[in-house]
Amino acid sequence: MAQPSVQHVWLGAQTGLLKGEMFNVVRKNATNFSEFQSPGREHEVCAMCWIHLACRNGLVKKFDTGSAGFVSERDCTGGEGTFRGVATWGSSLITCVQSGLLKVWEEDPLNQVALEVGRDVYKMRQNPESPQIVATGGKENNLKIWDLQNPLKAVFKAKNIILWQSPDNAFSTLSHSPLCFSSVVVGNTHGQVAVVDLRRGMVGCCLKGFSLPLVASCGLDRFLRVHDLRNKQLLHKVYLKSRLNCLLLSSKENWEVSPIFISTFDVFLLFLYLTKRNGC
Amino acid sequence: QKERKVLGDKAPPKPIPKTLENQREPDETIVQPQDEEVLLEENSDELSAYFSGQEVPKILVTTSDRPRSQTTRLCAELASVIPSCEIYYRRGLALKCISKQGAARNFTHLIVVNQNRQKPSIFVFILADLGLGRRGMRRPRRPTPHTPEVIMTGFGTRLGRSVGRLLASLFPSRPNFTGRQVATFHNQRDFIFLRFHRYMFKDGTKVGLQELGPRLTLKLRSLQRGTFDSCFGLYDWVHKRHEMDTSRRRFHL
Repeated sequence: MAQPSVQHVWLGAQTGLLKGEMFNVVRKNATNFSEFQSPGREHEVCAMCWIHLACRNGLVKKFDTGSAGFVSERDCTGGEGTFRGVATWGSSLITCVQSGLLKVWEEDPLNQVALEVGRDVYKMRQNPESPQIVATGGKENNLKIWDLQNPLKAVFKAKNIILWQSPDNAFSTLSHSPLCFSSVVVGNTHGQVAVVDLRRGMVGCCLKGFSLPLVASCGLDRFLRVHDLRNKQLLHKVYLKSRLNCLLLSSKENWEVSPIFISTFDVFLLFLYLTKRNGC
Repeated sequence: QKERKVLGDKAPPKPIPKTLENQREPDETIVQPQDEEVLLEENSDELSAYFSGQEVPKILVTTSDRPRSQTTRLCAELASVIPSCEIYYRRGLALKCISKQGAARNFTHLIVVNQNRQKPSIFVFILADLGLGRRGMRRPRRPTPHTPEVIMTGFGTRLGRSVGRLLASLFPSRPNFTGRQVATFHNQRDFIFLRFHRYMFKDGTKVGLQELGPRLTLKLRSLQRGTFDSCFGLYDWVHKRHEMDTSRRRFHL
């Protein structure tokens, strides 16, 4: 088995498998880090954060990259539906499920915070710079920003920012584009990925001028793709055998360690910055 | 050939003719037999209940609005070969409405036969969207109500395997061997041919075949995850002509 500490991309599959993928130009090598007996449909990985796996059956597993195994499990059942986001805040875990129950899991059950963020949540994200601040949004559910130290009221409620609305095909995924704050990378249900400039409101017109070049995507077709944002080229495409739900990019220094990457050294330095920005 | 005749046994072996199939572009998604990960995924997906025999498929067949005679005839033929199949008039209902009502009445599959230029053209299967061509038979025989066996051939890739599974799940997983009927889904160059036969073993080597149901030619256009949803549904695979059909030697199923 490959060393877990050198994996560049971590992927959670619908079968409950955790995969590591080394970003290698010459060879394609993906490694499974789960045992085949344990996973199943109820262990489907619904959300990931560094490096916790939120499964369909309500368990949040912690993976240790040093020993290449799951070190602990935590029962985080509550609410209805699958996990839509998981994050860490110090020693506690933040989870959000589809029915809108956002909960902070402390060691002491008395200190646990629970709040309702509205129905049909599609995504919960954490602010990487101040981990107590999270954002939620979903179908027919406006974007809200919450401060978990003061959870009674939302810090900010947007009007008319609803995920999943577009004239043709629904957007299924969204990520902030590096450095350029007015742009987002969106993917729709048809498997098309585009960069949208929010200032100008046009699709695919602002691919020039990006200083941070990589975006990784995974989907139901079981492929992991890494694109260069500058010239829209596909850099890396791997078949990973299982349907993939979520991915994490490693922010370890080992991007520079592999000798193959020396020619594209600047790419990976920038990539590091990108992973830091996205809080992965 | 004349040289070959002259040389007799000493003739060099005939070269294998080049076809699109054996010149096929290598595809990394081709499933190896007994692949643990694929088996794991198949044992936990939505269709696993049919193949383990826990659920029996019950199929709702409907058409587009105002079906022409060819379309209704095709539905009747389908109902004659697929067991536990019921035909309903569309009555102008939306697909989402039908799938909701069907689920309430314990239907497991929904087949919609649409028509293009007054001929049946597109199957909207509850999960897959399949193009349809059709050829008549010379002397159709009547099928018996026995559950047929299902043969799948040529579904090699991971996508092909899931499409094959979907098609095979139309039939109950326990065939009735006394009926000696068989439904064959044969995939060749991404076209799926559907044939129904009754077989008879004549002696140890020969088998007689009698053709029963309609001959259908299907082509996969898209495969969705979950029930059919044109706006918010997640696509497993969509046929994108300009991206995917750049080589004649590339096949997806």
